[in-house]
Amino acid sequence: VRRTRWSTALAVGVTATFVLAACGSSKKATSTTAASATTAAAAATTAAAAATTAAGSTATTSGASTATTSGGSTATTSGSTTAGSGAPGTTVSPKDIGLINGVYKGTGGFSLDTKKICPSDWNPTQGISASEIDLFQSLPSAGAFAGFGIIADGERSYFKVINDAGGIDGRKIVLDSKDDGYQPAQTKTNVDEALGANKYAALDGILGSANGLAVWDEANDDCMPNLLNESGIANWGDVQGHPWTTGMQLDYFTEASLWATWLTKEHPELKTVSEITYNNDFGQAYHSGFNFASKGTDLKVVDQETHEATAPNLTNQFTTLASKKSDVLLIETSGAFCTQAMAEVEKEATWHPLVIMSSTCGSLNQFFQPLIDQGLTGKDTYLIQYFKDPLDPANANDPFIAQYYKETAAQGLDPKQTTYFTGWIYAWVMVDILKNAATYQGGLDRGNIMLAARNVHETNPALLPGLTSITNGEQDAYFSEGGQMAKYTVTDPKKLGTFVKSGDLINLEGQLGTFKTVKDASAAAGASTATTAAAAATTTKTT
Amino acid sequence: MALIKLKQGSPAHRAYVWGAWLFVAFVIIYVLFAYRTGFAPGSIDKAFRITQINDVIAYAVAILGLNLVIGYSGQLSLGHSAFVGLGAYTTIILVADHHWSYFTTIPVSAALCFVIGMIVGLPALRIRGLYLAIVTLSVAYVFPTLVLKYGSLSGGPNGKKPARGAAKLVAPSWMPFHNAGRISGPLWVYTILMVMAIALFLLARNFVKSRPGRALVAVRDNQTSAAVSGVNLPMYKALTFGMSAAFGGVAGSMLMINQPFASDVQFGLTLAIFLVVGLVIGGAGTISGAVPGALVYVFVPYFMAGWTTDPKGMPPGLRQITKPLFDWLSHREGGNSISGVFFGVLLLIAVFILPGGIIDGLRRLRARFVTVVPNPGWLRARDGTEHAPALLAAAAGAPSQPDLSTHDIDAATAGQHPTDGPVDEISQHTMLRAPQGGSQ
Repeated sequence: VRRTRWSTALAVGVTATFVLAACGSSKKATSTTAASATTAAAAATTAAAAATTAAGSTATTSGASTATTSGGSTATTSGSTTAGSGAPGTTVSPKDIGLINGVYKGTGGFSLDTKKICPSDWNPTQGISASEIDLFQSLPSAGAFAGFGIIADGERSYFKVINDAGGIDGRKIVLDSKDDGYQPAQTKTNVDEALGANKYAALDGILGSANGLAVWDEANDDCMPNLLNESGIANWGDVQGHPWTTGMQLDYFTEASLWATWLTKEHPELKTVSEITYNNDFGQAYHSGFNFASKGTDLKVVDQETHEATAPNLTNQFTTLASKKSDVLLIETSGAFCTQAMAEVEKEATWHPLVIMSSTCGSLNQFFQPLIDQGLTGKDTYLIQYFKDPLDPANANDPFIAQYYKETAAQGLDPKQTTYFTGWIYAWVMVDILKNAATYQGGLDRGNIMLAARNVHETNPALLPGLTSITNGEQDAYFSEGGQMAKYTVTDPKKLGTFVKSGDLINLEGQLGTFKTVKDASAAAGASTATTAAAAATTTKTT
Repeated sequence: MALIKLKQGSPAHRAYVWGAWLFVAFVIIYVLFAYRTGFAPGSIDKAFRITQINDVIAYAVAILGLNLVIGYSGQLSLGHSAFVGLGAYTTIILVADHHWSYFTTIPVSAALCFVIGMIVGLPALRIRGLYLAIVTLSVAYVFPTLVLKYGSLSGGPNGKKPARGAAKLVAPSWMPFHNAGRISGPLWVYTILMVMAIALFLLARNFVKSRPGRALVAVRDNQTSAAVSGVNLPMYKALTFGMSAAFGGVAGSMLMINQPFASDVQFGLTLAIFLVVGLVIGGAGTISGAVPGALVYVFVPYFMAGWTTDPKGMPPGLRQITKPLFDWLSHREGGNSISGVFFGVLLLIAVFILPGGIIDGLRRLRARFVTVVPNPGWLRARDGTEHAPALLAAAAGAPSQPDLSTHDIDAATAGQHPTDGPVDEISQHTMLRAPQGGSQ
């Protein structure tokens, strides 16, 4: 009898938990209020503290901002990260950017008339208080893709460095992230919640192409800055249709353009090209990017084989490809298919093309190690690199990487886990945008954050030396459009090799413009996959 | 022994039943006005919470459909996610590409899923138990692959949604919340889905109560004797699969009405498994069990994941107890994944202490306070008196049900058939002559 009573009590407890959870628990609300009350109190004290230290810090701030206008160096972090960078200077003074006559006026013909395009209750300073800037991120932090979730920890780690140094004019950057398991539907749920919460200034780094596409319409309808999407599809440059959305990393279209440029420059003797393409937006972006850049050159695509996500292997495709005996093979795929493609081409007896592969296949442990287990190497495969490698001993003295090692180690993170570094890169750009937005007319608000994201003129310290990170309103919507071709070189076939630079750095900065270029090129290239066509159709409707 | 005894059919009993139903009705209608009254701030002031409740409604319908197959006809089907997905994609494709209204797509997805469900149910005529589970599981496994395969139709890995700004449901001006801003859309969807769900629950309840419903239970309990009694096994099995799939399809359409976005992973194995989990947690073989099952499916993982990243939202008490754990986890790689572990542990606990599901637990709990003494009309009419002491004493110990769940036959407590169910007179006689279980 006693036993059943206990189980009943437990049953009641569990049910009560469910009910509490379902109702959102009024207690939760009270505790939050209590918490915010304390934060407010804390803010009051820190404000006072800030007032006392203000005199000291102004000097540094003004010094840095002078540097921006005169030397064009970044006005961002502690001097160490930006020292010695010959950044391209801004052409427009911050005084001419910002909320002017009720309209957010940016550079490069970009402006936001928030009264017309935004919901009537749009709040320009939502998520931006005197003490905090709240950002929201959705990315997989549980499940099969949980490895990506570390990016958020890396970002928070860099924000902590900035916050400890005073934040953005005394405001601390707070990044809330939610797990979406890489499922677009869950991303949408997370972002809907964030949009409805009325507490975030911007979305920061939604990870994944499909995930980003699932939410960018809502974000734009809501006038929520949807910054630094963490995937490389060119859609993130759709300034006209989605003015509140940006990407950050090199897009796949441009990457394939870099291939064509590099081939014509370094290997003019190679003429015929064949492609193995993932039959989705990702693969077709490479295809149309290569066609776009090889127009007017001697390069000629003689064969393109596609594969589906569900393909068990690529043997059939390679049988056909090998029969064409082209000079160059482009591997426009990702994941385990990279390894399969490299294995197929290495096992090929009679056909020895020059192989260029998607940069998404760059992870040595993930994609090259399995080849060694098969008795292969993957040697002489080329791919584009554009970020500095924190594990490369040659970069040990790089100020940004040195700072990364010092700070992450101090925070108890393992700096060798380079995914943290990816987080640092994104966070660095975010901080840069926020700092610049604060200098515009009207001060730091969501409209100015968007203008700043479209007016970036930096040498991002994480990019390879010589590359730039530039956006300019409706003229240039892509942050970086350059890279370095590298060749995978193997000395001992039993061990992983290294990437060795091949040829000069190529920078196509500003050449892609906006997503319109990509759409036109895709149409010209006859990218016939349904998904691409559908994506293009959707965007045409919206613009 | 229970604190209160209510005689079936007495005014007190009627008041009790009506009171329970009025409370349910009050909760359902209350949600529509909660944004204004401001009761329990923080709970329903967000449009998102309404969206989640809408999801609960849709998943409840899906679990209800699954219950017909697993709970009532006793066939283990794990492929239900495919039907939910099929319904969802039917709706979203018709809405996005062919500019149908959401409502006209519902009969289409119901009909389509009914037919496909019958076809998938065909193997059930020959195989049983775990083998059938594997066959149906393969349906769940194949569905996302098909979505990717026919990308031109389904949008492939990018998912499918209507063009930007198109196909939005706007609350009509006669609804009290039509100008409530962001929350008015979800509330209108809530109204629509709630009406649909009530209709579907009534449909399921009547189906289960009817002749085919009892035939299903007979098939579940003993196939041979059901066949001997004249139940057409193949027909009923296929019919159940079809009906259950149709419920799943409508649930998929409801999900799309709420959140018009479909992607392959959404309707994969995870959903297939969690529908069964929701069914078991709610209570297999009960109509009302679908509601707590869906609540658990939508809210428990949500709050678990939320608390592992931000323990501030946790109910006090629980928060203090678990603080060391979260402090330890917060700086660890993959610390977020722990929410899955918590959910698993919670499921284990739930299965141990609530073997018959939440509904069964609630009934057992209620039986400690309220007992309804069966007093069927025919008994009163024949005797002219209101006593049948031996029978009533025997029945009094058994939990009985005054609300909608009255008529459920609980698989988990299969020995205890409720004696006050709306079974027809013949079976009532039989049952009363040989009371099963009941007495304790």
